[in-house]
Amino acid sequence: MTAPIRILLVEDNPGDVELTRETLAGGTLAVELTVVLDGAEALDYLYRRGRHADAYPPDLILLDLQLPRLDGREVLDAMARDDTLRRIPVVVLSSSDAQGDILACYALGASCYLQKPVDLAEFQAVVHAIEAFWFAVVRSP
Amino acid sequence: MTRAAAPVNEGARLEALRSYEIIDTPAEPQFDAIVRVAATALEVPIALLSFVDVDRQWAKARHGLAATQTARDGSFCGHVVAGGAELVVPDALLDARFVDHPFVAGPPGIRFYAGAPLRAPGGHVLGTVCVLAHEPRAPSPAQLDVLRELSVLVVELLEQRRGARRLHDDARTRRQADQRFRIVVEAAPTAMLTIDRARVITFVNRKTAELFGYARDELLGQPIELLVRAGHPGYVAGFFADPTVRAMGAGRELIGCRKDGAEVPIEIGLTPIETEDDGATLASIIDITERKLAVERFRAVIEASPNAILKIDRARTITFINRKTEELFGYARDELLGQPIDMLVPARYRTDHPGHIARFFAAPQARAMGAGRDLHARRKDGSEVPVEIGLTTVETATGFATLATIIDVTARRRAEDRLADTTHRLELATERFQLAATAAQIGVWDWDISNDVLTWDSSMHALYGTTPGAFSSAYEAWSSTIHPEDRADTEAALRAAVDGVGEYASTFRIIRPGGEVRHVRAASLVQRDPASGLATRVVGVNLDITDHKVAELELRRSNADLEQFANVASHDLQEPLRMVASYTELLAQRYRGKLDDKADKYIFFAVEGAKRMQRLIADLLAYSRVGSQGRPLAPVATGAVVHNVLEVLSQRIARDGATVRVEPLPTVLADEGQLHQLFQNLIGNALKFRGEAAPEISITARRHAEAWRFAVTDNGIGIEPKYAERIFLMFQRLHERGKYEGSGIGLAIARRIVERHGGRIWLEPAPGGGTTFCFTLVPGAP
Repeated sequence: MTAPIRILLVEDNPGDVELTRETLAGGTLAVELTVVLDGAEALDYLYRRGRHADAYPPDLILLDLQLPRLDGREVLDAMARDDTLRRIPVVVLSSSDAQGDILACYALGASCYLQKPVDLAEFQAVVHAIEAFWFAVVRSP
Repeated sequence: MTRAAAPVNEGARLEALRSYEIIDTPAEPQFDAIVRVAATALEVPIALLSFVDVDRQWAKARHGLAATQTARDGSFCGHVVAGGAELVVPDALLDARFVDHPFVAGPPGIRFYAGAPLRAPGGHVLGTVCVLAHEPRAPSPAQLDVLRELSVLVVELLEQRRGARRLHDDARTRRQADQRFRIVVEAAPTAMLTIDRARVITFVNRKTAELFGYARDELLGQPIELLVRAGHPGYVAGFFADPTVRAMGAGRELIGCRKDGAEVPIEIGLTPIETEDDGATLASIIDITERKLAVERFRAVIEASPNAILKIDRARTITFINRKTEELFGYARDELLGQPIDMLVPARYRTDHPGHIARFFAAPQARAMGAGRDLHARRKDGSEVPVEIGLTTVETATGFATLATIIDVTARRRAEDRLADTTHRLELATERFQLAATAAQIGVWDWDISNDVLTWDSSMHALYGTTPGAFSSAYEAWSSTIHPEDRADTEAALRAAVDGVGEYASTFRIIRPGGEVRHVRAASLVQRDPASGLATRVVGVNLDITDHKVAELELRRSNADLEQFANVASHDLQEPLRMVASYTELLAQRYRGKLDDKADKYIFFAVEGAKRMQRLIADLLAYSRVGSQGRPLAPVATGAVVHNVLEVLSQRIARDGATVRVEPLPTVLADEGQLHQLFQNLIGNALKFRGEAAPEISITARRHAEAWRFAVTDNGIGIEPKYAERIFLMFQRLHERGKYEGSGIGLAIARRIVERHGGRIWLEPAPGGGTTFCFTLVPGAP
């Protein structure tokens, strides 16, 4: 059994947080899930500022685009400018399927862009796919 | 000295004196001899032959006196003339009448005078034969007799001389006249000859010899019948027998006979002339061959005239018609000649017609008949033709006649009617155009390029916010009003039109004098010089489309707002809905079978409702994106797009056992993504609404004028015609939920796509009960 994966979920919708948590809990791997509610707090966590001073750097970030205060794109932008943070894989989870949003995210260094599925089964499939994706491919370097 | 009164008939006396032409003539021996005889016989030194003129006494002959003339006043001879009788003055000094006469009182000192009057045959005293002496005398009666006789002798001599002179003059005059006559006759362009009472030719001129082909000698002494023949014998003899001035053979044919036997139509004019012998007749003979030819030619011309020409006499009888008259009226010539004109006049005019004719004969002026009235001619078959008639009088051998030219104006009337109709319609159209132009506030302008004069109508001025006076009527005045951002393009477009490169139709902004910006649409026609092809004039219209533009911008903004709204709304609706859906599903997953049956049913409906709403919102989003996320149109190969669609649908096609037939498809101007969606929706529908049989789908395209017309045909359940429009509305479904899946957005999106491409989509029933969706797209390549 390897150490649990540290996942930072940046999501302001408690429903989605709960769904993600439920789904990850039902999965096969040990996950240590941290949730922040907006982009600004996400950056505080990443830079270990304020109450996140003793935070661990996450292995994976699940980032919603539409966030209060600082939105997902701004978070991506800030991370792209930081050599350390740039290396953390980011999976963008958004309900937007707009082409512009998707391209912008990839341009800002997002590893993966996933549209939030409309039904539960698909959502679950997506979360499990992220797990598989992460452990099978991304973690290797 | 007493002045002798002038005789009462002095004028006649002087005239008589003149007639002898004696005054101021040189001396002549005959008369000199007479005065010598008088001097000798009366034994006096002085003798004179004097004539008393108006105011002088003139001596034709004198003896013993130098002076040739003296004043008449107080002269001795004057007294003789006045007295009309012989005068003897034995001693002037004793005679009160002469005592103070200069010749008596002074030199030559006359004392004696005796004068015998020169009495002309008419009784006038012309002068005297007189004798004078320097001393008193008393002549014997015998001496005075001599003097009297001498005076008679003188008068006889004068008479003789005058007679001789008159004779001479007469002869000369006659000779001259004769000569003149011959010259004239000889030079006359007409044949002339004289015959005597026995009708024997006594003279011929050159032209006669020429006309008849004889030498002159051969004609002289011959009877006139040698040259002239008439229709009946005896006419010529009778004609020449009556010596009065007249034209011969008027209206009658006379024939001249040439020496060579040929015949010449002639006309003869006769003048009786006096001759010294028995009198004669001068005949002028005119060769009328040419005239007859001319008459025939004239008749031929009349005959060939494209107008009907007929002649009537005073009695309204038709005396002549041409071929066209036969045609126009449908009668044969024989049926008309000699008939009254009435037969050609419609019955309703017949009462008045004779009056018109009589008036015309009374004041015959060439004119158009019935000016201002519609005239009709009656044909043999009773039909009437509209005609125009011109009238002239002609003088003929038998009196005046009226020549009428009749023109069938049926065709012209018809053309006039048409012209009037066209003119009327043109006027109406012009009026309507002006009304329309005014009502629509369309400005009309006219640019004379060569003179650079730009003319605007009132609507143009209203549009540009100017007044006629404030506009300088030049191109520059116009171009300076254009918005600086539009000026270059607008002028380039106009220049291109003038150069023949393009049509001038542009939209631009103008700035009114007050700074207000208006949008203007302009279109024009360029007129060119046919020879050089250079533009000479441009006529165009300006239309103020500001309101339209503003409305268009507002519409675009409101459409964008609407799309934005739909986009945002559907997006924002997605979120909570996703929650509802996800958690009801989670509920179902975790708690199905753990609650009671009702709970399971409620969860099921909640899940279904949430899913359906998600679907509707997704469709609404897709629909709004046809407008908001469309790409520019570019040539797209339809065949490839359809191929891709069939790839995507391949599983369903296989599952349903469908056959899809695709004909070669053209390249069109389209947004490829939307074209894909269009075909996918239509083919998807065809698969979805299938009947019992395996789906058969065909996709075809036909070129119709400017567009390609596509057809997607299936053998499915078909759509009733009454729903043909409704199916294209959003969320319209014809079937209960559950039987066929779908929200009813597919065809609405299809229509939105087609319309965005400038096409049209509609439904046609397919043979055999299926459905054909037709739509048009613009070709992608020329």
